[in-house]
Amino acid sequence: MTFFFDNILVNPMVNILVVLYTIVFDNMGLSLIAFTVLVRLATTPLTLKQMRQMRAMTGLQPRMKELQTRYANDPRKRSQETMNLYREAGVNPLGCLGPMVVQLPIWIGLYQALLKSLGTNPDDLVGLSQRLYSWNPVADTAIPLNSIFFGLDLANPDPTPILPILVGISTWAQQKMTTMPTADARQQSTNNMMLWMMPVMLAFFAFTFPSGLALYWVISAAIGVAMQGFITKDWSPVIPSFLKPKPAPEPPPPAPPEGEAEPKELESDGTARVDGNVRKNRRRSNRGGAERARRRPGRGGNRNIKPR
Amino acid sequence: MAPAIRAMPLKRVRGPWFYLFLTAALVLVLSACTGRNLIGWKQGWSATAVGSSGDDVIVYVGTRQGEVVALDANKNGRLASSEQLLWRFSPPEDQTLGGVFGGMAVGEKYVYVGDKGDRNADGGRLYALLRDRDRGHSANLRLDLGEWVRPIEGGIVGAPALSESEDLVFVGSDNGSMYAFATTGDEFGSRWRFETDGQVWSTPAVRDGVVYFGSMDRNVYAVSAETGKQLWQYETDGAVVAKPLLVDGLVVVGSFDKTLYALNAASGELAWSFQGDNWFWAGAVFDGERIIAASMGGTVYALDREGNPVWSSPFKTDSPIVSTPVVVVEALDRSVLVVAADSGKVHLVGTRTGEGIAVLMDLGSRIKAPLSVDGAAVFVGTDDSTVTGINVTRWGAPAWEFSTKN
Repeated sequence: MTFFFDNILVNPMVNILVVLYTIVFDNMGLSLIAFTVLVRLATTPLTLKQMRQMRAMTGLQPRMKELQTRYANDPRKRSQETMNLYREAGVNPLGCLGPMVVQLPIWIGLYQALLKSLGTNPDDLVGLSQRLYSWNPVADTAIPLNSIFFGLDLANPDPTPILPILVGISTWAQQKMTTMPTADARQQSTNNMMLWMMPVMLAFFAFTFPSGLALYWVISAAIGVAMQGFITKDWSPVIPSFLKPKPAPEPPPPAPPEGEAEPKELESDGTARVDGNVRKNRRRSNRGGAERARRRPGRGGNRNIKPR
Repeated sequence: MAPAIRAMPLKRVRGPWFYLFLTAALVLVLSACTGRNLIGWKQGWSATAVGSSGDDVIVYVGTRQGEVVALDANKNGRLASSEQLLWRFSPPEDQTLGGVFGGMAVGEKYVYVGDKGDRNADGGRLYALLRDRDRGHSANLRLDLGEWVRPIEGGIVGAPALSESEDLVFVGSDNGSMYAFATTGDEFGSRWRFETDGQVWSTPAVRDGVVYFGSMDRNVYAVSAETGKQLWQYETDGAVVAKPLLVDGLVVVGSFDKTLYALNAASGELAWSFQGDNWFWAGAVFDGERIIAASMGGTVYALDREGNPVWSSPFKTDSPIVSTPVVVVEALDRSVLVVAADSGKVHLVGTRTGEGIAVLMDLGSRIKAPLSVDGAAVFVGTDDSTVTGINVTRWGAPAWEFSTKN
């Protein structure tokens, strides 16, 4: 296992870091940043897939809510129908895990690679000599690597809380941007909890990890947030509410041509919707559930609602 | 009636964040396994040095337990007495001894020990200890008898070296400096300090009032032993951590650029160079005719004074060679080389042809400290905190061994 781990993950990373180190002016911090960009580029297909999944999940939310309401008392059936819905829409609920699963070995490998390549101990340097490929053109001349980046020793934890705080902020932002929408209240509360718990936990870890690893995480998360924002053109999850532009007042709906007038229906938030999609999806909206039940007390799917 | 407590089905809690949580937990566990931040973790290579007077042979060891011990051994490397341990010095709490890597310098009266410091320490110390301390264990320096200690910023990896008159001791530091201290210890500060742009892990070589050493800044330096003034420097393409060999007006030293350099000792000009297969960490040795150098590729080369290979093919071991080999001249009616590979195998090699005579021992533990020799006895310190004495004329079993863990 160690042989596999070293030869597939750690040693290639060590060699890539050393090559990048010489390219970016013998600077390990820049080498790490370049490495992060490369990893992000390599995992772009996964990231794009994750974004498509998120978009598809967002589109499924009305139908998910409908299922929630319709099968409120039958979790098994609800689960079955939900899976059917995912299958029909071609959505994998675990699709968002791709980039994360890829990040796991990278993170562990990089952790080891940093320890092995930036060690200041004779044993570390002896070990490093066995990890460098003989055909690596800069392996002999680049050693020892200078681990200092803006006064920070990348081989050791940041003595200040700056990098751990950045880890926390960047993790929060990435989570906020990539959280899958869900109609499940329980899942939503889990998401809310993890939105804060993960950043705090990783920030705590960053106090003990080599600061190079924390730097990788910050840069990687920042790139992830930027990619998400630019592709979806939606930065709202990470923009503080007081900075968000106030929504412009909606123009009054155009008067429908005579003969095609259709009664406006109120959404749950009280706003009127007039676009065609709503009309198209009417039969599948959650109005088929609770709202219909309200209109026809004693009938409909939710018989637990007692008429007042 | 339903049970009061029902286990929540795992399926319910398996959201993306559940897996992310597992990821983070796994990373935490893996990081904990490395023991990276264990405070006060001792290190070192169980480095040895030999001092002899008459028939008495004493082996000094810088242990991985943060002590210096003196062991009694006779010239054949066999157990000299039932009381093998002569003395044991463990510094007081405020003067910890975190790791001895490169060995020690043994003078007429004192042994000089360079300490790298604990893994989390900012620096190490240079100790001057009496060679014939009182028997038993002591945690105090005998200042009244001339023992002393000096803090060294950055810590020490290479061994200290003495001037020919033993009035100065030179030691390189992790902070990039070469220091000279008066051996009398009557001056608290260093006599001089020569700064380089890289860590100085190289054990200095001293001859005719000149100190020769390498630095991680890729240079080989020659400085005046008396003043610390630079005489010359020669730039290689890799870090230089090996101890220079002084032979026939040449300074022979290997570099991480896989090259063995022979420099004119007076001018620093390149006389010749030889390309090896890997880094040169171990210092080169001389058997009277041949310059012998071992590489991290596990290869041993023999060259003549002009840098031409002498053996038809170099001697190969199964693992890197970090430990500086020794030449045993008196044994077997011819000179032989004892070379220890990182894997723990100790080889006996004929210096004339480079043929492997025997595997003296397979110690089963990593060997990185320079070997020590006295007569036909070779002393090897290993990573498992053991010092083994091997007699090159009667190999196959250790003449004696001592575990510093006890």
